Amino acid sequence: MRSARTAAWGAVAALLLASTAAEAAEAPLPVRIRVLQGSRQGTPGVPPGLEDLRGQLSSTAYLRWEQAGEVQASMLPRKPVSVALPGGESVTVTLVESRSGAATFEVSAPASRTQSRVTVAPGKRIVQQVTAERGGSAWFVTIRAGG
Amino acid sequence: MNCAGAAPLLGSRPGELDPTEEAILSAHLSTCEPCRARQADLEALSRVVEDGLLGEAARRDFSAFADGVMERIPASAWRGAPAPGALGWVRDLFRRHRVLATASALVPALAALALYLYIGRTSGTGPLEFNVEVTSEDLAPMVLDTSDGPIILVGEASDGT
Repeated sequence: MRSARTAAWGAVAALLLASTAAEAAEAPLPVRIRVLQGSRQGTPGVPPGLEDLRGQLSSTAYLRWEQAGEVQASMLPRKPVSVALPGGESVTVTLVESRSGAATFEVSAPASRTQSRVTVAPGKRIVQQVTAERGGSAWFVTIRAGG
Repeated sequence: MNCAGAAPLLGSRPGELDPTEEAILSAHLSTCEPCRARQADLEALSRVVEDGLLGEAARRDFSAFADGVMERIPASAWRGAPAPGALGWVRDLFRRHRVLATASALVPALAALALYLYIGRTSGTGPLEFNVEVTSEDLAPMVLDTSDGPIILVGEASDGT
């Protein structure tokens, strides 16, 4: 009788833990997505709004950066968000999985027929080129989990 | 009191009679020679029996009985005497110093927990804390690792326009 009661309490605790974990996995994740244009020509520079990206952007061969758009969304797993590019094309960003220590995104860029699946820790940023370079410039999206 | 009344009181053990009975018996014995003789015989017999019993008890060996009693007492019941073996020593330690022994056992566990939490917290600051998979149909993707996150480059269009 005592062991049966203990087992019942254990099952209840396991269910509570499982439901809490599932709820955490399905919780909306604030995500900031920015659309950037990088150019090899022109005056080198990063606008003030992109200062937080300077470290990453300066690692590329593109000298001049401009922001062309921004989307802030509370993303749910497996719910894609479409981000428009100035040329009429678009990029689809999907949150695949969100855990306490990492978030996994899928970025689909039809313009470059490229797909990526990236797992990053909170606070880290993904910088992805989403169009092939044409005339010395290309379009990029940056994704940051946590807003 | 006559002799018939005094007879049951003769040979009584010290303290067996109440003060009234003692006074009555003493008054009768002071006047009755036969009862005094009977009282003296009984006292002599009592001494002989007492001496005999003590002598018989002294001749008996009770060491086996004492050893049997001691064997039935578990060693752990001896206050102050540690149980044999390492496990017995640990049990004895826990019995005597419960709080101290529990704290001693918790210290390494807490140290391990602190180390685990520390590693879990600091492991999120390295430059290679992400995983990237890129596929492209006609471009050659390249991934740059930086401390702020990954950079994925796909290069130039193949038509060059």
